[in-house]
Amino acid sequence: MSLLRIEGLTKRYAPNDPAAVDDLTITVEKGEIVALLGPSGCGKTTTIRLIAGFEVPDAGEIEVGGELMAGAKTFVPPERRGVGVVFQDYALFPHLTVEQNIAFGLRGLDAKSKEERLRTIIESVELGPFAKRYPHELSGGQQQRVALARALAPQPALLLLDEPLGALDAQLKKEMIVELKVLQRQLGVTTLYITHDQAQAMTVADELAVMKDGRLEQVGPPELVYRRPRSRFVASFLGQALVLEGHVRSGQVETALGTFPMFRPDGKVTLAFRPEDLQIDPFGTIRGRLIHRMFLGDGGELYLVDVNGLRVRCTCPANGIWPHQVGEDVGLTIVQTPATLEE
Amino acid sequence: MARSLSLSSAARRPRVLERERLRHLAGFALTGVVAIPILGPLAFLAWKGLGPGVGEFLGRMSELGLLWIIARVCLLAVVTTALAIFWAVPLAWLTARTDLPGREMIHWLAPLPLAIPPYIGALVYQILLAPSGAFNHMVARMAGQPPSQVQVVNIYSLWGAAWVLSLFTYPYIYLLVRAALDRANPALEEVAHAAGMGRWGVARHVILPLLRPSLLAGSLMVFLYCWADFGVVSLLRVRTLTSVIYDYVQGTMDWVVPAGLSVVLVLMTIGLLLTQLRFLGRARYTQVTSRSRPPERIPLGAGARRLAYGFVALVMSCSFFLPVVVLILQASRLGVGELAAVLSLEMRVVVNSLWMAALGATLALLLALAVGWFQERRRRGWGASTLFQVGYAIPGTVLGLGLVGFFHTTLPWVYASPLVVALGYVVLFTTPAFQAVKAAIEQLSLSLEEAARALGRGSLRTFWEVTLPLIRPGLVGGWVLVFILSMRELAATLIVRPPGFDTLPVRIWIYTMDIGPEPRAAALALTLVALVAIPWLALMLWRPRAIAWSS
Amino acid sequence: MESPMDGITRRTFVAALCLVALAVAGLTPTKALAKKGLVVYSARKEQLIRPTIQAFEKETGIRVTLLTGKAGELARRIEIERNNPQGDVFVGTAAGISELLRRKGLLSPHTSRHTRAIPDEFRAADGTWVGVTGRVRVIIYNKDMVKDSDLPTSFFDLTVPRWKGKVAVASMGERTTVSWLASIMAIKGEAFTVQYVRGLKANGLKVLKNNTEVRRAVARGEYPLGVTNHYYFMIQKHEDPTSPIGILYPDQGDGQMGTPMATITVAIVRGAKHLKQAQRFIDFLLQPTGNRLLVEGKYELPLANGVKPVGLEHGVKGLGEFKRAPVTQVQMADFEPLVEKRLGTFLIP
Repeated sequence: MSLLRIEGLTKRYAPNDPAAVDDLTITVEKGEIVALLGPSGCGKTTTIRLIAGFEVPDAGEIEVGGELMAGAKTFVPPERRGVGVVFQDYALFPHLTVEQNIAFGLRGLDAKSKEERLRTIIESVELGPFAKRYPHELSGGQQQRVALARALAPQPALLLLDEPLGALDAQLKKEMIVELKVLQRQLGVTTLYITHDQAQAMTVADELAVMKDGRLEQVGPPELVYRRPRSRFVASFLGQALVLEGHVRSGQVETALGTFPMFRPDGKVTLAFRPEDLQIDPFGTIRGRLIHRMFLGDGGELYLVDVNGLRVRCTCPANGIWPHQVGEDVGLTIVQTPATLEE
Repeated sequence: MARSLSLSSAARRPRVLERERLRHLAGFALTGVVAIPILGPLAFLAWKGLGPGVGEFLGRMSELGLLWIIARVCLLAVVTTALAIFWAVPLAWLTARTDLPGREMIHWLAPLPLAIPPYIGALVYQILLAPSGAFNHMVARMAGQPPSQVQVVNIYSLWGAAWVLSLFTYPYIYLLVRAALDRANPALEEVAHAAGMGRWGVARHVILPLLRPSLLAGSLMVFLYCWADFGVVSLLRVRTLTSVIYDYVQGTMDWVVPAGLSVVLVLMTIGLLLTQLRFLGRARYTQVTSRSRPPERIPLGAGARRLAYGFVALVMSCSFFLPVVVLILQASRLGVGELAAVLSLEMRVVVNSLWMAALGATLALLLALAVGWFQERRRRGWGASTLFQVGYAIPGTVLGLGLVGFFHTTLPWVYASPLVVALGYVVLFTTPAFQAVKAAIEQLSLSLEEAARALGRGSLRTFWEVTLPLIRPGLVGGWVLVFILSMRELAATLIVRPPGFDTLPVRIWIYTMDIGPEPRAAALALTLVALVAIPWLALMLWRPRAIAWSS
Repeated sequence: MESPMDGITRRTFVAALCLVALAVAGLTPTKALAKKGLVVYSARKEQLIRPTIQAFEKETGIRVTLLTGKAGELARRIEIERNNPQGDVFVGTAAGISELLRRKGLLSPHTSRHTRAIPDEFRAADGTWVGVTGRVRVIIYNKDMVKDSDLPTSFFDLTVPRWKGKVAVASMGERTTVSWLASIMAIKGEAFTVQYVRGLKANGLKVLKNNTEVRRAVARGEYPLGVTNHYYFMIQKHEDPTSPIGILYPDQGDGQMGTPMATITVAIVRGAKHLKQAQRFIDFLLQPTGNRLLVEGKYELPLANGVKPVGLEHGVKGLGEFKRAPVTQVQMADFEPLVEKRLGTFLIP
């Protein structure tokens, strides 16, 4: 059952501006975490604001848990949508303690169950020792957890996270993202996660939705979207890709990187080569000159090879035994079929 | 209107349009409500002044020497502003950028003259420097001549008025310049030093340009004050637009001259105000919350230090200590019993003053809050704040005259009650409250309110539980400011007060006008200074704590 | 779980709203008016009229609320309040402005045994205003600065070079200045008077804010001569008995016009909400007890028989002891608007 259903959602801030969100249609299944990914200004924050009820859509419908929240004749104000929001700047109430912040959304409960719920949630985000502090007395990561706990406390059906880790440093980000994912699984709360960071999106999401200029480019499981990008934009926004035109003729495709087998009807195709599609191979038919070696730490090494003026990124076999020097001639071989773009 | 739109677009975005229209209407209504007490009196005056014909009006104005009067006011304002800059800037620089011992104390004292209304300052300097004042007497005694033969100084002149006005308005400039010095990033100066610039070079090429906006803003405030001032120029016998208007008001039943002059005066002050807005746009009193690190302080040599202390002593004693001492001495001539009698007789007046100033401040704050919130969160109601500015620019004398005429014909029950006094305060002083409120709301991130909405609070409850507590420092600051200004207000109150409802400044005025700066007036003036200084001090002591948690 | 902080704010906020509501409710005019009793708009110096008012309150038990202002300001109020009068009694500094108010139909008549005791000349024919005391236009001088033999004898001497820059007069803010010039205009004509005032200005006439400043400036020696009313001389003597000042009644010789005398007038505002009390107040001011208080407190000339003037020993003259300019209060009133219009701009400090 889909918990969030959006159909034809459109929002324009001024009559003559391009639409910030343009005819967006998406559904999110219950318990899923969907990452809404896109460059800044692509309309992802507007989408979240529309779902939360901070903005009124110009057209389209928003349904949460089967209930219509916004439509042609309906507009449910944010306070009655039961949607939790974590803001990019956390928006913690500076005049309230951690405890008071988290309890802010706990209403309509008797004192005892309220207290209980508060304890549980504070425990689950490990903020016990800080309960009586004020937000400005906490570190960035702690503030982030307070924001998360505050949004989760009323047990919302849907959780919206707007760049929740944007303000943290790289190491903390990595820790927090795992914590977040674990917590989300534990609570089973349906989540829409907004980010412009593709690595974060792929780590956290069950489903990835890539946005551009207010429109959805592609939706699907992260792996699939990564492996089989449908557009040039998705291919190059998610990881690195070398996009080449090719021509298929009787089971062979001709590209600037040479000819190789491809089972497709004859005609033009656009191919996106991921670095891992190409490997250094002394016997490879593609010949070029190594111009740069990038050490990636945990991810091995990335090679930049000049093939007839084309800059090609490729990988080296994990057990690469041929140390190559920059400036040397090297061979490349295609180890995986590149993705075909729909263009 | 939505209904008149084509069907397709009406069907596509009906609700949004309706909301927009509602907001539009609400903004319009708000502006309308604000417009009535501000534009009404002005319209009344325009009607009265120009009613008998423009020719008649112009004839009277040329007889009056209008251009001369305007030139005189300009001269007064320029001299006052120059003097005020001369007091304020060295003080600000000494406290912000040098190692002068006791600078914190000086910084705390420097704005205190704001607690003394300039007309009380004029009263004091009348006692001291009038032709038969204490100073001339002293000189005469030393010279062994009869007092009436010696006249070394005479405060009754444009220069005297400029002296007094500058002494009691320089804090406007001081506060702005000091804040700008605090804000200025010391790194800029260090870069200039590193580039080989000397100390004076840095002062001229780095610090001065940084200070220019705040210096200009403060100077214009003082300049505008001179235009609108009524008390000082009346007491010190300088013929300006406001004093001519008041003379006509009190001596004649003629409307053409006072109403016409009022219109001229308002147009000119609005012109000045527009210049101010244009030049400065957003410059205003901003609280400085934090600074990365303190600037390098310039060490003063022993000689420079003596000079600095001398200057501080001169400014502070002329603008605060001397007036207070003179008032105390003058009031003490009464004797305890008589003093108690005066104070108990005037107790009702003190209560009136406090009551009206509190009411005026509260009304102004509520209005400022409504308009400020509406502007920041609904992007509507810009007209209202412009109107506040207009009200701020109207000299009290003019406003009083207009309010009386306008309200008597439109809302007689307001006219006949003290409410009209509070209303006058609101019209005159909503701008400072509005600036404080707006700055506070601007600093408040929208996401805080949205977070509350998402956590189940309606917009009213959100305002109540989140917005209000967070903008409280701004609200308190704004309230105290309006309260102080209202407590001091003389010109408008004098004209609009209903029978039996005098305020403290009015009583001081009546005493002074009847028999000069005599002990009873001094006792009341002292009471007023105390009542104004106390909230001011409280605010200064309280403010640093209030902003600690909002950063 | 509410924070204490917003609790305080909310309480403050509620308190503020209550304050506003209370204030608006508490300030309704009906309630305020009931407490005020008889409302007297007085252009007299408050300290001088207060003893009389206190005596009135004591004798009658009627509460009096005093609004002190200048005559023009108060008359303007009465005019504005035409449809909803707030004041009951108007105490003016000269008959002129009362007469102006009468002509605008803003006064209500009152005749009684006490008003009839005042000579006709000092009251309106229809009984709308009545003079209570008289004030004579005089010149005061500083004895240290001018010898008696050098003194001018006429108002019209003041335009000669001998007195250049040496004469002070109160601005038009003092109604008595307007009355004085109106008298001259009534007798000598408009053109003459305008010429006269221009001559005075050209001769360095110093216009001060009010008569108090004039008497003080002369006593201190800032100006040797001051044109003012006779009782200011007495007030100055009272305030500082050592003041080196003298009093001079101008234009007393043969063929000279005499000096004008104006009266403090009282009148009842038309539509006064406390008519009975207002009538009693006026009668009180005219009865010997009330009148004596006014005369003794203010050194003015009594108009009714039986009350003696004060200050005769210093050179003050009683009614009939000096030559009065042949001008009635009504004539003065006739010329006052013209004075305002033609000369007002010259008579601003």
